[in-house]
Amino acid sequence: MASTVQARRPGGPVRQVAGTIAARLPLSSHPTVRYAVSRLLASIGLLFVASIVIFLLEHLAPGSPESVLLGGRPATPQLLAAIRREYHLDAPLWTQYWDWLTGVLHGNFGQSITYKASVSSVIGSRIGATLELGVYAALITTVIGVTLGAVAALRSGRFTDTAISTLVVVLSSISGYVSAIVLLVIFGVKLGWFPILGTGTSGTDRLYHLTLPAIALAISLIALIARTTRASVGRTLDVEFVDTARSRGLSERRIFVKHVFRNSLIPILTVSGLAVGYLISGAVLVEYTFGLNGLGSLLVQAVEAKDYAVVQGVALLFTAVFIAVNLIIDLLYGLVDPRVRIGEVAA
Amino acid sequence: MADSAMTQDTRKLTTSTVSTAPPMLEVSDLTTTLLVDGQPQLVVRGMNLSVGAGEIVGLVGESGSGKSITARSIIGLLPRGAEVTGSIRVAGVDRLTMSRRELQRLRAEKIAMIFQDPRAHIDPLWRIEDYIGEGLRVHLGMSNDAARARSRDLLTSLGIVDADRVLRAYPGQLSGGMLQRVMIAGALSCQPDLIIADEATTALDVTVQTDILAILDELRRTQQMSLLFITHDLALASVICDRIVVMYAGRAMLIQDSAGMFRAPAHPYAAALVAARPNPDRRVERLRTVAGRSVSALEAPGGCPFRPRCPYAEPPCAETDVPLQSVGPGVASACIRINDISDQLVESASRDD
Amino acid sequence: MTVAAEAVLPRARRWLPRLPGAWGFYIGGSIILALVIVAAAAPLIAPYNPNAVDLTHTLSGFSSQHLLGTDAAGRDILSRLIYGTRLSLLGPLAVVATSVIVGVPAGLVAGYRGGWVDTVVSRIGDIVFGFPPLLLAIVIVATFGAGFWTATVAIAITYIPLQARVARGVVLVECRNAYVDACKMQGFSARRTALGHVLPNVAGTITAQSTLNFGYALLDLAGLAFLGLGVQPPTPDWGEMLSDGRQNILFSVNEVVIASIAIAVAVIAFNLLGDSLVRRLSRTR
Repeated sequence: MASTVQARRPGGPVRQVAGTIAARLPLSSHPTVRYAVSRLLASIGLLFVASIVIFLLEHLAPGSPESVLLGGRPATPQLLAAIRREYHLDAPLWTQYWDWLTGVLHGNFGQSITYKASVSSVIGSRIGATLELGVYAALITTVIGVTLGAVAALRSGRFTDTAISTLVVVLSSISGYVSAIVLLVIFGVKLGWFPILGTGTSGTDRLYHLTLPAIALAISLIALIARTTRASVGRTLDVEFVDTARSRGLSERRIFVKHVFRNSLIPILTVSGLAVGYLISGAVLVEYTFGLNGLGSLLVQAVEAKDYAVVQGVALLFTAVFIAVNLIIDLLYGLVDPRVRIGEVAA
Repeated sequence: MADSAMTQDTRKLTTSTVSTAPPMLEVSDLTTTLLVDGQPQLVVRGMNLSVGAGEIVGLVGESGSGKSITARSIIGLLPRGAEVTGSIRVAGVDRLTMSRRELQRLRAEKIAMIFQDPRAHIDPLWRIEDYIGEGLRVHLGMSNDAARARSRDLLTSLGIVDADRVLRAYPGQLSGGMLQRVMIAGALSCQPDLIIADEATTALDVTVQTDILAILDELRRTQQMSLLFITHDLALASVICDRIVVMYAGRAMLIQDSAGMFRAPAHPYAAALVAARPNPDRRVERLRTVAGRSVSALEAPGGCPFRPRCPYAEPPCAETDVPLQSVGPGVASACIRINDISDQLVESASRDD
Repeated sequence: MTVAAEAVLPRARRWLPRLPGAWGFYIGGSIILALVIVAAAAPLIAPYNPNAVDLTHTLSGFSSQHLLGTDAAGRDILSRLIYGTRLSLLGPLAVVATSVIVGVPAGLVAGYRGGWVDTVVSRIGDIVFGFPPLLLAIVIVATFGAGFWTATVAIAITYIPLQARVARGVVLVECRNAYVDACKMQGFSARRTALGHVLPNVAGTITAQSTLNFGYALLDLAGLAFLGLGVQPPTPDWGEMLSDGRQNILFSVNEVVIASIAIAVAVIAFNLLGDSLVRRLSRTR
């Protein structure tokens, strides 16, 4: 499990390359700046490669690109010619990629076949629900996960710890969509406490509609965060400086808040980056389960309708968010731990 | 009945004869049990010691003898499941009956501790000024600026020239010797009456070690601070300590003034330690060692725990637990044969081979 | 085991489920064995043809004729569950087998040889891990069309670098051991040292990781099928049953609940077995 967590984080050795590049730039000798720049370069590089993969996959699809782009419309010669012109299909592949990329950078993701509208407007109309769901679930995950983990660590070996560990083991075995279905069945269908479908209108109604999906999304991530927090806080509590703080007559509360928690943050942050990835994949499944009109369900519909422009747009957006969040986390390391800033310890 | 009489007796014995005021620290009949893998294990067993005001007392013993656990029992830093009985009085007040709040106040105002490995014992994420000033801000309610100014004074008084740079640094940017000074500054910050130094110089270079010892000695003279100096190094302890408590298998074997201990050790174990000290003036064929293996309180046999390694042991040594007994002014020994063998011990300590 | 390791371990162990290692091994193992038997003997056990439509008995509850009821097309849920075991296990098996066959040698060579091989293997892994989990698989399915094999290949692609990275990490740790240098000094070839000495030492870790991966892959594949991107109806599969049951959830929750339980039980079984293997490894170290 630990190895899975470590292995799955984006970045890795790419950072070393970016680090050497950044070191050669005449930017600044200040380690903080160098650190930030190298992380930024690594993320941009990774996103660039990811965009190539997303773009190329479309061209690997069986059948000619024209038939793919037709998406079921009748193949009249005029239409085919129009498509070839619009998508520059006669140009070399890298030119096509470049055109697509420059379009994307200007906010132009192309046209959706099914929605007869620009992909950016389709994404724009759906992004709200996903964003709200994601933030809602992330809040639940962080608050509950960190609290459970910290309490378990502080009560290590006692009943509370055992109860929380057992709960965490159970939760971690339940994937997002399974918990979504179980919650849907119990609270939506059987008890009727929460709506089964849709995003709701606005304000509290929207919050009400999103509560069950957000909990479903949060459940397995709570286990991940709680497990990491428990381990990390437990390790920090064993470090000698906690004894020093106690010997100086500081209160247990102050010791936890000022010393133990901050020292435990790095692993929690690391896993949070991974959790954002699971949050995104989970959102696809949970939105589908609860019939929410977000980007996740849009992606599934686009895949079924072979609406490639939408698939590319949503996939690129999700990947960009994933990479960006992990970039932010890398920068937060430096904020939390001065050893990263002064370059004493490699992150 | 016999027990309490013995406690009365040892209290008189263990207290420094020089001072008439109540001792800063008085530990009597201390017994500490730790939970190891769920099993209670006796680590300190009937330990006695006292530290007078402005006095430096050395607590010396091999590793596993229980000296660190004694120190941690005094300041209340034991792992969960530990049990402490006996009495620990700090300036006349029993530490063991204190509430958690009172213990926090005691640590904040009266006792401070200096640990062996400063790199592990200082929070790596805060600047040095935050570390030293934490007690000043929390306990004395100082402003950040006032705390910083006081921290700078402390560092300067500890012989640090560029105190401002050190204050702004993070622990990872400083050397071990520098960090140990920082930890001492932190311990001194709230002007405690008693400092417990647990192997405070063991991990340091010899030159740095000497500097730190000089600082501690200076503090005792200028500020009337009491110091319990814990080390496994008898020679080191003799440099600054007024009296030395020798610990073995969880209890005190000997309490004696340092000069007297080297001249005429009043216990066979102390004599063996003195004799095992390498003498730089003479080259020897083979370094002397204390024969046999050091044992913990748990493994110790009944009677005198040093008996299996003691060249002077006789059948009576196995019969009863031997309490500390006064054998001279300010000297207490836990050897029942001490009156018979004292001459031999003097000879073995001064032997020059 | 050294004294220090003894002292550190109990604290970490406490966080794992409070079952003794052997317990998890036997419970997880028995469930998995039972599932395999069910999959193999499906035609003998299943009371009905899984695809037999009976429009006079749709969405019926538990009864003596249909122990677990019927779905919206009147098909027997128990029979579909039993037959569904086949693809639900075959998919993850294919994923794990592919990831081991491709990923482990890649990781082994990358870790052992270093140099450009390591660079290439690691970079490919970086690209795959740059995508949120499952997203790359969805994009691949979007390209090649939904279906059991596309979904399996898509998931396998995301597990190959994972397995390679784990293998590489273990090899790097193993190669620090003195015996590798000893082999080199005795003049054994790199290939022989790697295959004959390092590989057996990493096999345990790979087995444990593969067992855990089996559970995760089962979840991922069922998820794709649930989204309609994996196994296509009417082929019986647990994920497909989830998808089918989701559409009729307002009328009957039986199908989704039963399929969810099946998936959860299987995943827990693989987690138990995997965790017990991991712990057994850490104990023998």
